[in-house]
Amino acid sequence: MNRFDYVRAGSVAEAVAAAAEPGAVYLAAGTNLLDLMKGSIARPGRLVDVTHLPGLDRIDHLPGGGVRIGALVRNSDLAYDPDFAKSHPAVAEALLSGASAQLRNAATVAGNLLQRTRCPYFYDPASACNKRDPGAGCDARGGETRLHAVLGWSEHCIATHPSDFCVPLVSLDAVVEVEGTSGAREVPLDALHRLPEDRPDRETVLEPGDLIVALRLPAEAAGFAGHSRYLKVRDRTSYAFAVVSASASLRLEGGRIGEARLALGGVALKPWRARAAEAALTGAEPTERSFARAAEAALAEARPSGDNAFKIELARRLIVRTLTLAADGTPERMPALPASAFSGDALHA
Amino acid sequence: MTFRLTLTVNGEPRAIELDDPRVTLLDLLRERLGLTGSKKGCDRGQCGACTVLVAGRRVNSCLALAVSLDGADILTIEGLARGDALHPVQSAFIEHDGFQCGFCTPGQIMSAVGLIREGQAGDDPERIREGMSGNLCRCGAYIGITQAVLDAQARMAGATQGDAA
Amino acid sequence: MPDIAYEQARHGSSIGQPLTRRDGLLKVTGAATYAADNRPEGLLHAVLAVSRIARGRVVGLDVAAAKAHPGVVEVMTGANAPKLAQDPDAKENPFMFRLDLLQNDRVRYAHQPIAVVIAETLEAATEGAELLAPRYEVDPPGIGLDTDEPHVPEGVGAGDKTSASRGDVEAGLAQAERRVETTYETAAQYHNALEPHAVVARWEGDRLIVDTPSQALAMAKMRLAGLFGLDPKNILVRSPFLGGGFGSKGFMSGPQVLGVMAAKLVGRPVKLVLRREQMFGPVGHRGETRQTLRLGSDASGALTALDHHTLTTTSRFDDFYEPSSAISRYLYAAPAVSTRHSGVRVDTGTPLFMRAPGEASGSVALEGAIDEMAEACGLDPLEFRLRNYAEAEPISGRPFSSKALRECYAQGAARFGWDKRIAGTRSMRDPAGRLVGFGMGTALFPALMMQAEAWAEIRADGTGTVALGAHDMGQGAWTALAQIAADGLGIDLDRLDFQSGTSDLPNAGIAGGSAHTATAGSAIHSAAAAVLAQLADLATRDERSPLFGAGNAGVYARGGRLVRRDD
Repeated sequence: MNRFDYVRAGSVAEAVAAAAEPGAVYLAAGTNLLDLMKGSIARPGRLVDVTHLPGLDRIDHLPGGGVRIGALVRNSDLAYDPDFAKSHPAVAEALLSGASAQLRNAATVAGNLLQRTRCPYFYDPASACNKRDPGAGCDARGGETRLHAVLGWSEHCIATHPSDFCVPLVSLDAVVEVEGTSGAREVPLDALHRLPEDRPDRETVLEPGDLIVALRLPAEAAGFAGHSRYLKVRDRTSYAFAVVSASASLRLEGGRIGEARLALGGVALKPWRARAAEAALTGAEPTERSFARAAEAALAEARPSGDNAFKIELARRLIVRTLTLAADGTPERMPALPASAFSGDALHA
Repeated sequence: MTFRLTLTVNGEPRAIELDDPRVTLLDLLRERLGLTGSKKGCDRGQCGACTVLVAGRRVNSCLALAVSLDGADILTIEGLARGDALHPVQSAFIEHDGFQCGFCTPGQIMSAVGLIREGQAGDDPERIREGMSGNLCRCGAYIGITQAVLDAQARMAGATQGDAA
Repeated sequence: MPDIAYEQARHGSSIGQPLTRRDGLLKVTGAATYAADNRPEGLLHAVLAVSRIARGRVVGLDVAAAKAHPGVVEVMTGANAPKLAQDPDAKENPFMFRLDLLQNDRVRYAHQPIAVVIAETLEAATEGAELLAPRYEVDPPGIGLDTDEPHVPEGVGAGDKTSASRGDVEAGLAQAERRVETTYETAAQYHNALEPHAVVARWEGDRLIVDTPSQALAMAKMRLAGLFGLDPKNILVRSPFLGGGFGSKGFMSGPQVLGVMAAKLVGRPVKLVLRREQMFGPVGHRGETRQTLRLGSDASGALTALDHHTLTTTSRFDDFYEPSSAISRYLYAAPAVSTRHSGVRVDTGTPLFMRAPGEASGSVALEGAIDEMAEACGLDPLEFRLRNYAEAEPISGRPFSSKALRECYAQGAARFGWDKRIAGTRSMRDPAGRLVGFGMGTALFPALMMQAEAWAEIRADGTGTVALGAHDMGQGAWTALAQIAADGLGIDLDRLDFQSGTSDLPNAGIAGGSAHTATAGSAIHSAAAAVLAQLADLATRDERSPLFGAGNAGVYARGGRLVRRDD
């Protein structure tokens, strides 16, 4: 790990000023940053510690509906908040399916949104990576591409976004509140992460010094609570990133789908909102046929970026399974294996 | 630059002077405070051998910077027993043979203490296993570990007096 | 062999009695000391810089940048590494690694050590290693089973024969009613014990004290003696606890020796601990295999021929070959059996024995091939195995001293409800509609016995000591061997002082091949019996003793006392 300046910010303004300098990054729990620094992938000259900033660790239910989650709320605290888990079950399920208990206890909400890809070529200093070093090339192309993108990728970068939390959030129109050098602003979560295009080193729309202070879910999000699931397919039963994941939330009206929200994880460098699929589901009956059609729509533009065409078929099946389980109804209790596509809870009723 | 921190470690306030902000909580414990019970298995948050409690929650000490923990309350494996009296989780690990080489054991025990405090798993072995999934055991003592956690949790729930941990 | 007989009393006896681990308290309180937990006065931290290429040369290291980092004390490279008494590639016997110890600029595998940074703090040493920014001349590496022309090794595994056969396999296959030819590949596997290889090394003049995990203390000591030109009496290797071994701590590794060299260079104790990613390369692994099996059977499902060929990898510079074909020498009766190995050299670290070397990788292929042949014959897999049951060792013809495999099969079949198995793929579902199936496999492992020595003492107060350099890597030696020692001396466990885990104690061989308990336990038993025989001799010759005249075979030991048999 390189030597760095450590600055503990006492206020948001102080934090923003300290972090706006070149080579400065924010330190929250550090579960992603320290991993990157130990691997010499990140070598920031200054760490601005925001963990002691007051008032950023609350979960507030807003008048008129909606919930505002402070940036420093720990992943596990949010997932286990009874009110939140009841009103936004797919978000809670996604949180609990990610990482390990120890990591969930430390990691913050904002840290989860901003975590970086786990592409093994990004993580290997001996590999060429356009994200680390623009113009260097992409050694993932033609390499081991099991965990790489099938949507939104470019020749320059085929990595994926690793977060589970972000997937239901984008489907529910979450919004990120930011404080920066030019004041406060809001960014829809769906617009926060950039696709790689020809500059995969530019990962978000945030400017130097921009500090996420809160995440907000609109009032409508809770309207899906009765029919909302997150499912994740991965190579181990627990503590592994998604090969593919899906978040499906439905509002049923008189035996038909009044509104659907669908998003995919593990398929692109940002959490992937499937709006075409949602449109296909609106007004449809909640049947396997409708779900299959929605899956087709969601994956119409999917292309393998390597030896990963299987992910497209896997995503298709997972979308159908997740919509099916969402239609069955959110379980009373969080399953023993959250988001598992294979446990007994994942069988169609 | 010197950082002056106060950490409470196993109930004792410790005044610590650090000249290097890179020191992780794990390396602080092992290399500077002489508390070598917490182990370094991977140093990247993947194995859980470094698990300690910070403010009562289980975390990977290898991914925490000591400088950012000023004022924190830390409990390590060395602080779990009360004099000669083992913590119920420690006794249960012995009784159910929840270890072989013992290298993952301090992290497993601290993780189990944290899991029991979280109170989410109940007496469901599957939830216990899922809750302990951040602790690897290369010797494969998972069955004994699961039984030990279940047993300790039951005993602690039945205990008449106060906070056992 | 002393002929004292003593009654194996069940009450108070230790062997075979359930017991919680004697090291349990130390392990659950974090008090058990593993190598990296040692912190002698004046300790410096060493971190390895390892190669990021698999083949080529190191042409530049920015030593100045590393040394400029505050806290860095020294950088050990080929330019200043202590001279060794022996070429690290000189191999006196098959039980050692050829090592890369900074004697040249050559890179032979990825993660090969190329320098050591020594510093006052771990943080400084770690960053120092990064700042070296090595530059390489890169040669194209070859990895994978098809890298090169295979060769026939001189031996496989730990002293096993490359090939063994009987009968004429080609004729057997030609005559067969049915033939199966199938190929199985197993991937390389890395032991990755949870405790990374580590060493704390301290020189005191010509004496060397080393805390390092070892499954073979005496061999470790001798390896260090050879490399540093030391009298073995001046070397102490301590390994009371290992955080797992699985074979990877059986040979002294390059990183461990480099820690010792670093301590010599700086004249202070040095601790060197491998980072997890550095565990892939310098400390061994199970080599990958491609196993081709050809089986022939007659109309009744009896094998006419079984040919098992293994292609496996070794490094470019050293030899260890995963002996996967060997299992076919033991399991199934066939008039013609052929077991062969080929090796291919690749640019990786050298493989090493890992958890059932050969048996683990070979049984996957053999049992899979047997299943395929059973299916080709239209026979139930269990029935096929019973029809080809080996009553004697297939190639040598030697009788088994005992074999209860049929009983195992019968009990297993009963317990698993094998009679409910429906033949054919996709033929069975559970109540929830999920596809399920029944399969089986046969495992075999030799019961090996090696050499060991032990020291035993019994005292007038009824306490005793047994000491030997045994190794507990989690398999329970601290407990099982103590039980044997207590029974050997005829005393209760709590009256026994059992010493183990350091190289200054008698040579207990290697904790490997699942032979340690039998081997070390036998040495303990012999030593204990011998010391009791001495005591019995003293007592039965002493007129003042109630045992006078009982004769050597007329007394036995129990509960810390010698007792007349006729009492």
